[in-house]
Amino acid sequence: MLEEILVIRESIPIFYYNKDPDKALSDNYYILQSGFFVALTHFANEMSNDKLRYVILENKLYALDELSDVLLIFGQKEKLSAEVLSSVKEDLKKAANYLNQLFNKYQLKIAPNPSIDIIDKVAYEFGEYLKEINLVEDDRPFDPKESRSMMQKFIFNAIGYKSGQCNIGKAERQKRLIMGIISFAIAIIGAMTIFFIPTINAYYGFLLMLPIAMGFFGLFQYFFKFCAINGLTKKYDMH
Amino acid sequence: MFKKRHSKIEKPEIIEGEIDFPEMIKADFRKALLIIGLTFLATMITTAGLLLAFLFLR
Repeated sequence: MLEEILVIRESIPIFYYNKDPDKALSDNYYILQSGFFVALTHFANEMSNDKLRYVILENKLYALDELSDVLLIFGQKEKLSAEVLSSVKEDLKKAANYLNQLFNKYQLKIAPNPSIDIIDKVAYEFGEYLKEINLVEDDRPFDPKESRSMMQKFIFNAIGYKSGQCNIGKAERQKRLIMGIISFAIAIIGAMTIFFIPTINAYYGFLLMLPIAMGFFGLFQYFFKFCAINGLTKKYDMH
Repeated sequence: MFKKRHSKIEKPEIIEGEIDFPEMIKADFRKALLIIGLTFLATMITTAGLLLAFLFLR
């Protein structure tokens, strides 16, 4: 299933579904709320690691011409109850039909790479339609930033980033472990050299501060699962 | 909804990226300082120990 998701074309429309936010968002899953286009391949890493799962309504995953019938849900599908799914299904069907019409109108099924203008037009008309048939109750102006923040917080949870506790993944931890071990090895060789060769001034031991510091820095980061540089520069890297 | 038009396709940050949330930034900053502080302390103690060993044991 995962391999087939990766061949889906780059950009697809995502339903803006916020009729009932209590149902759309929980600790266990997140029904993507968005009016903009997003590339599925951005999620390839997470999917191949089995950290994010797609739940596709009505088994329309393989039908590339019917992507508008797809609802993306990130999270654990076994925790998504049938009640929640059935409650969004009817609304989704209506929205999907209209979006299909828009696709035909703007010939999106024929043109593989629509321009941003056309994408904006489709998103705008789709949003107006959702309001018109009362599929969205929240009438605030759509804010991509807010939507993105919600999604990002969920993704943080899914990929294992925890602020103040863990901001690097397995591969990054390994790098820091290797850095620590190599640095300590250099420090030990240096210390033994100074210790066993009496002609070397003992104060050359100060030079060992650098590999020792690198060694501790690497090992602390490995054990704490946390990169200090990332922490200072507001970044995370869960590779 | 959709009144605020965007000029480019949004690209969500997934496996790596920057953090936008102040409370998360603060927690990360504190942890980073803790690691740097521990590194400094451990380095000082180890280096001092080695220097004493070089001066008095060899």
